[in-house]
Amino acid sequence: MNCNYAQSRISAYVDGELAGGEMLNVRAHLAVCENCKAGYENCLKLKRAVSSMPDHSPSPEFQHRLVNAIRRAAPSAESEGPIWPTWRMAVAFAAAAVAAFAVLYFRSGSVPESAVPSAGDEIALDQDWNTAAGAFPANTLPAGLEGN
Amino acid sequence: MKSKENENLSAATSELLTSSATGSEQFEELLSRTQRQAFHLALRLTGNRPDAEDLVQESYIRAFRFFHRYDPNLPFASWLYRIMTNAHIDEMRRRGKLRTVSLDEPHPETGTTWDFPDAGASPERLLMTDQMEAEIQDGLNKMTAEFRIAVLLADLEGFSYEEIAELMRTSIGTVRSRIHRGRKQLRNHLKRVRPDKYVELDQG
Repeated sequence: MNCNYAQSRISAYVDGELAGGEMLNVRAHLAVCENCKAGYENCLKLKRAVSSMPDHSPSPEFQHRLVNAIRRAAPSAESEGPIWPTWRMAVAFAAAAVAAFAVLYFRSGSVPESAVPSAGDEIALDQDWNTAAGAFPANTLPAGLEGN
Repeated sequence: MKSKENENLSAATSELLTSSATGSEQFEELLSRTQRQAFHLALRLTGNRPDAEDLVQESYIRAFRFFHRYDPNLPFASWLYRIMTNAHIDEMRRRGKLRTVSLDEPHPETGTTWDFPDAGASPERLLMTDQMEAEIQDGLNKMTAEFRIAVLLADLEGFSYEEIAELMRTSIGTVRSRIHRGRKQLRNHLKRVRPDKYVELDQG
């Protein structure tokens, strides 16, 4: 093993990241080469210097600001609870109303007054079946859900 | 020691994620457990407090937005650090500072040794004055961003090369090269700013 070979591996040697054979070769070289041994000691001290850098605490109010920033930045996630079920319930109600209307219509051949639910009325009359089954325009989705 | 902390944190994370807390509550709990260490890494990556706070904030916001993609089998801190290192590289690109002044010019490799004082009772740590800290941080700031990230994940966080490769989505060979070259840049910087910290071997 020559010095160039050893020095290219000293950093990984210091980190304990050389495989067994390579590690033993480097160790054997360091035992006989003063210059490479000095390079190894420098690298070791450099690693210790970086890992000894003092741990400065964030300011006391930082976590508070952090939590607030996250809540502000992701309003859709916070409002997901109330908005999403309401939207789903509206679709489900419309679909159920249309289904009930269809069943009664085909069974009796006429439309009893009581079978037309007022809430589903507008959808059933003004929009086609696919639309009534739940395809709301994209811009009515709660902000932030489009990408998911 | 860091690995032990990561293991403990990982176990605590698994426990938390199987609890009945909602997504937001889980996230805020994970945030409160990890934000201090995340700040430490961010401070060393950016070199100053305001940029570190911005980086931490940006990282947690991204993590929160994509929390549904988080795999609880991985330590939360590792996932967060992946987001943080990407955010750091994005910011460096934005500022046009991804490639900094090269400190990698040829420099005599051997014949000198460091004169950093060991911290008596703890041979794993060095006594660090404010001046030394500032000099090392200055060297870190001038490093190529990818090298800085790899060196800090290894030395500050105690991650293995395999973990760093996974985190930076690259090969172990690339990690090895980045750490080697990063330390070389740092050493050359320190040799230039503090030649008095070196003791020539033949004098010692």
